[in-house]
Order: sequence, then structure tokens, then C-alpha cells
Amino acid sequence: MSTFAIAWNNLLHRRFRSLCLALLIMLTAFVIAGGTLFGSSLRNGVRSTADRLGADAMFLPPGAERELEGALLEGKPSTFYLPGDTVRQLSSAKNVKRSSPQLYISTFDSPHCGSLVQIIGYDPKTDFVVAPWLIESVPGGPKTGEIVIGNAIQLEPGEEMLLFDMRYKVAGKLEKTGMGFDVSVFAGMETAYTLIDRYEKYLEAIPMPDKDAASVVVVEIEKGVDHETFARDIRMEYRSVGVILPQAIIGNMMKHLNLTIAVLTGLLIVIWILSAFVLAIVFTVALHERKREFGVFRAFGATRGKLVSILMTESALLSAGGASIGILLLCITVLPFNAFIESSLGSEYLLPSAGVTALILGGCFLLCASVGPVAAVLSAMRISYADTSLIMKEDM
Amino acid sequence: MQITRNERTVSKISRNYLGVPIFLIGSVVAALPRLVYGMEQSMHGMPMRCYATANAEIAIGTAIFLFGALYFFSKSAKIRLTASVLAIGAAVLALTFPLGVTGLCGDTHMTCHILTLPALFVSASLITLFSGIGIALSVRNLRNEGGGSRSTYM
Amino acid sequence: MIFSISGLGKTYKRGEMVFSAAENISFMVDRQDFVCITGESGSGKSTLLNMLTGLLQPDEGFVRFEGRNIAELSDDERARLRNSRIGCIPQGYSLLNNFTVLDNVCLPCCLYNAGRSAYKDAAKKARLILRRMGISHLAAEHPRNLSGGEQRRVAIARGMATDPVLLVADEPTGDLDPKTAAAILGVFGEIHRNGTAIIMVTHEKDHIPFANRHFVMERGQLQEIFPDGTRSSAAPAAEHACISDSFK
Repeated sequence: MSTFAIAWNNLLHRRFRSLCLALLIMLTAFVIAGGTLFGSSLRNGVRSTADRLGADAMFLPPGAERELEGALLEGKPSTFYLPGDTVRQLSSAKNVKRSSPQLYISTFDSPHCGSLVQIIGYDPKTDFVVAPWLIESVPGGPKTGEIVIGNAIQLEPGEEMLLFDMRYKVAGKLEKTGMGFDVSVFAGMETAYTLIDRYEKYLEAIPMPDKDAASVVVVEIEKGVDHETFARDIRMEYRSVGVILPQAIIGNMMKHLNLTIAVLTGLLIVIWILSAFVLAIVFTVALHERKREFGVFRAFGATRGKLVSILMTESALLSAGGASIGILLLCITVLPFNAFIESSLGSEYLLPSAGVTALILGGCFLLCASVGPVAAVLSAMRISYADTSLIMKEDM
Repeated sequence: MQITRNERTVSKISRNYLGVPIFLIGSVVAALPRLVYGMEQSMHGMPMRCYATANAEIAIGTAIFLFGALYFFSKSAKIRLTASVLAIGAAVLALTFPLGVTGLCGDTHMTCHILTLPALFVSASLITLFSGIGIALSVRNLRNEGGGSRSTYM
Repeated sequence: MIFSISGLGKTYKRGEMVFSAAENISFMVDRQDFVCITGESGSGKSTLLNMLTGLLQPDEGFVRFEGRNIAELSDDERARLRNSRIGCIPQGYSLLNNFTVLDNVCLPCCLYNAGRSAYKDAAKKARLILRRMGISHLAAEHPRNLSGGEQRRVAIARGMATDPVLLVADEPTGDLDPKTAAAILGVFGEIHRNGTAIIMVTHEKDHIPFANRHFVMERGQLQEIFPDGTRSSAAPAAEHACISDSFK
């Protein structure tokens, strides 16, 4: 009769107590695993955003800042323009190292389009923000007449997408970004202009002011120039231009995120300690009731080590069982709603890759499975060194 | 072989309570797509693929409800076993329709993708879990009724 | 000779007072002995028994079991000695409620042999012992469903599971009616006739005729009562007796 069999039998004998303790650990594991995954997903989302917003500054029409943030971060498509003259002037503004225009057009929520998405046209010759990671999905970038779609669009490379009553071949599909790029369609500027030609035929379209207009000009600032000062100077010189500093946005996001994650981590640690504390109390009380049982074990020849291993096995079984159920519950009740959580949060939230998620869940399992043995170790040592003859006298 | 008090208690628990979550979740499966998440026949004049799925889930959910009720009221281990197996089959069907047979909308941000499908997945998983326990208990009861030996060693 | 005890002593502290639970106890036990130790409650009988089985370390003297000084063994070695050579029947209710009667009897055999085949062998042996005790029909029951006499028989069966050379019983008929107590003593008699030595501690004087040696414990001191009624000190200590202080 192995230590495992004796421990299992002991747990089954006290079914209600075992169930309650396992439930406590199940809840602990659920909360800790869920909280850790949540924090990781937030960090992952912000990191993904930071990797993709490579520009130092973005010029856009004044008042369109909210729309651009909505398009980039929340996936809310919109259409806006900067006049061609302004685009030309901005490209040669002071302290601009290099710049590239982008076009932002929203499709229609109607039968004319496959779905409501943000079309982003970019200039392959001058672009340095979008092109580097587009090339990862489509070597050389999309050709004229081809598009690259975001991860949330229900099409695969080789299929065609309906945009303004015309079909365009999908050359590639991006990885999940957790940003508005997931519901975006990327096209080279030539393709973008053909899209605009068709777009402008519709009544609800916002027409381009001129042929050289752009929605956004992405800019790399000269080294050593303070970005805030640069933005202020541009606003003063060009009254009809708005300026967004992506890295400043991300910096703020990171600051808030770090604080959120620090608080979250602190709470999770407290929950773990609380569970261990409650378990320690229950184990101490339970072991006190079982002193005679252990005295009997000693009487017919169990070593102190055997007693300790029985107790530790019981606590390990309880916590491993509770932790695995808690994490399983998280996987089947919360993870499937990941897309809903993403859209509800309305901010950067990107579940880590399957491998990283598995590692996180595995780590949380080990952490929560260790609650029982940690809580039981002191009690186990105490009972194993108690004077057996005195133990046998108790309960008489 | 004389059945001890613990086994009689387990049999009673199995009959009285395990059927309850199955028929409750069956009603959830039936009600979720149309009543809760509002999968409509059309939107903006476009026919919605998920409407057919919603209708299928009503039928499947009703079937699961009946299997759960059968489990709850039946005193025979064989019938409970059959009801559990059928419930698992229906749970699999509940996922097959939205994932293949009738399908869902093209836009992954629609309610049918981000809410209804995960909810159906959770429901199907829980039905499978409870039915699986029901199968295990029914098989054990059938074995005990047949007079099989009960090992005192686990 | 199984046991050789010499100069055994144990003191306890109660607040400021120090009292001797056992004082200068010396005697020997052979294979054919059925020893009955009587005495009033608090006379030190259980303390003596615990020192004999290695559950309690004496402050003075030594206990030699089959030639080995128990005090020189490690705690684990004493535990294994108890498991393999001595059968213990503790005072009062000592069965484990979360195991069946069969598993209770098998436990001592399976403590250090965990495999399935070891359990099968132990179970086979346990069924034999239970049959000899007349309680084989209770193998699948849990102890809480048994009567007092049946529980005591199971405890004896467990004590005999490892074929010990010595069975040590502390108040084995403590809370039983006279008829059941007599039946239990009958079982002890049969065990003794089959070659196992027995040391039984009891406060019931009518148990004495069942044994072939009678000792009385009074205020920590042990005296043997011979069949002709005379009293003397316990049997002389072994030839190479060695008394040492404060064993831990």
C-alpha cells in the first residue's frame, strides 16, 4: 500500500473537507492564472503596438487625432485628408529626417464591401513604418492590384476581397497585432489610388481635395531633436496640421500599464499568501484531530519520514487537483472569450502565443500546486517529532 | 454482494443531481443564440448565416434538455448511461453546426464569433464533463448491480 | 530470550515536581512467556510498555531486544524493528476508519513494501488471520461498523500480520464486557500456544490466570508475583548489564 494510496484514501475519507480545500485552491489558481494571463496580454499588446508604430511623429488634419488613434488602436475605420500642398511642405519641414505619406480610407458597411475595414495606402518607395513588417508576410510587398489583410479579416491568401464593388487578390495575411491593424487592409499607393477612384463614386464617400493629398505623413525626426519641441514648432508654423507623437502615447500607456500590472501582481501575491495561510490553519487543526491516527501508524512501525511523506502527499494531491481544475476552468470558460475581451477593452490586448500561454499556465499551476505542501510542511514536521507515547494517550 | 452505505448514497447523488446541470446547460444552448445574443435572420438587408445556426442550436439544446431530464428522472443505470452518451453526442453537434455545417458570419468581430461561439464551446465542454461523470457513475452502478467484486485496494 | 531489561527508569516533570513513572525495572522475557502486568491506573504500566517497544526512550537503564540495545538504534531502526518483530495493540480504539478491516490488517505488511504484489500477498495472509479470528466475513467492512469485540479482534489481527515474535497489548479488554473480554483472552491464549510471546498490561486482576507470569507495577516499581503468592523483585538482569544515564 503505497504512500500515494494511503494519502488518497485519507482524502476520500474526509470528502467534504478535501473538496472545500481543493475548491479554495481551484479559485486561487483560476484568479492567479487569469490575472497573470491578463497582465501578459496587456503588456504583449502594448509591445506589439510599440513595434508597429515606428514613426517619431505623424502629421494629420487638425481634429483628426481621435480618429487616427481609433483607427490604429481600436480598429475604428475612418477617412480624412491633408491637402497635397501641406503634404509637400511637411516633407521638407525643419528637422524632418525622412517622411512618407499614408492614405486612410474607410470601407462601407454595405453589400459593396466584404466587411467594414480600414484601408491604409502606403508608398513602398519612401515608407519605413509599415513596409518592414509587411515584407515579413509578403516578400517584396503586395504588387499592384494586391492587398495584405489584417489577422481578423476572414479571408486567406489567394482569395479575393470585395472593396467598392471590385475584387482584389489577398497577397498575404498579417499576424495578430492586438491593434486596429487587425481589421485593416494594406495596399501600395498605386492600388490605393485605384481604390479611391472607385470609392469616390459613392454618395457617402469623402472626396480627396486633390490628387497629391494624403491622410497622414509619417516622419522620422533628426537625432538629438526633442520630440515635444518639434511638435510644438510644427503646430506653430503649420496652423492647419495636427501632430501625434506615437512614442509619447506608448510611453504613457507603458507607465499606466506598469502601474496596473504592479498592482495586479501585488494582489495576486496576497491571494496566494492568503490561500497558504488558510490552508495552514486548516491543516494544523486537521492534524491535531489526527494525532492518534499518526500515533497508531508509529506504533505499528511507520517511520517519522513515512508520516511526513503521507501528509505531504495528501497536501500535494489536494493542491495539484485544485490547481489543475482551476486552470482547466480558466481554459474552457475565459480563454474562448478572448476576442470579446479584446473588443470590450478597446485598448491593446493581445494574448501571447500558444507556447508562451502554455508556459504561463504551467508556471501558475506549479505555483498553486505548491500552496498545499508549503502550508503543510510545518505541521508535518511538528507531528512527526511529537512524542508518540503522549500522542497515544490523547483522545482517551 | 452487499452494497455499503457509501455506494447507496453515491447512487442517489448521481440520480438526483447530475442530470440538473445537463438539462440546465441544454436550455442555455437553446436560448443563447437567438434570445440572448440576438442572431437575426438578416442585417442591413444581408442574410446572416448564423441564423440557421441559431435554429439548429434551439433543436440541439432542446434535445440536451430532454437527455438531462431523462437522466434526472430515470432510476435505471442503463438509461442514465444512454442519456449521458446521447448528451455528449449532442454537445459535439452543438459545436459542429457553427464551425462547419451552417457556419457563422464572415466578420470575426460580430457577436456570433466573439460571444455565441465561445459560449457554445463552454456549454459543450461542461455538458461533456458532467455527462462523462454520469457515464462513469452509471458504469460503476451497473457493475455493482451485476455483483462484480469491489477492490478494497486502489 | 527476547527481552532483557535492566535498571530501566523514566522520570517526568509536572510543574516543579519530578516523579518517577518507572524506577530500576529489571526482568527478562522468553519466547514461551505470556506476561501479565497489572497495576492501578497511573502506576507506570503504559510507560513501561512504550519503553519496551522503543516508542519512548528511557532515562536510565537499557532494553535489549534479541540481543540488540534498543537505545542504540536510530528512530527509523526502532520503527522497522516494531514493524517486523513486535506486534503492538495500543490502548483503546486504534483502528483506522478510512480503511477497511482487511486494509487495516494489511497496513503493517505494506508500509515498506508498496507494490501490488506485496499487497496481494499481505491480503492473502490477512484473510487467513481474520479467518482464524473468526471475523473473515468482516473484511470489507469499515471499523466504525463493528462491535467493540470485533474491533479488538481486528486490532489483534493487525498486530499478528507481520508474524512478530512478541505481541504487546495495552489494556486489550479495557472497555469490553466480561464475556467478550474472555473471548479476547482466549484468542491471546491461542496466539501464545502457537509460539508468540505476549506481554499484556491490564488493571483487571481476573486476567492473571490466562498468563504464565504475573508482574505488579506499583508507583513505578515492578515486582513479579510467583504462583505460590510470594513476591520478589523482577528477574535478574542479563550477565553483561550496562546502565547508562539519560538516553535520548
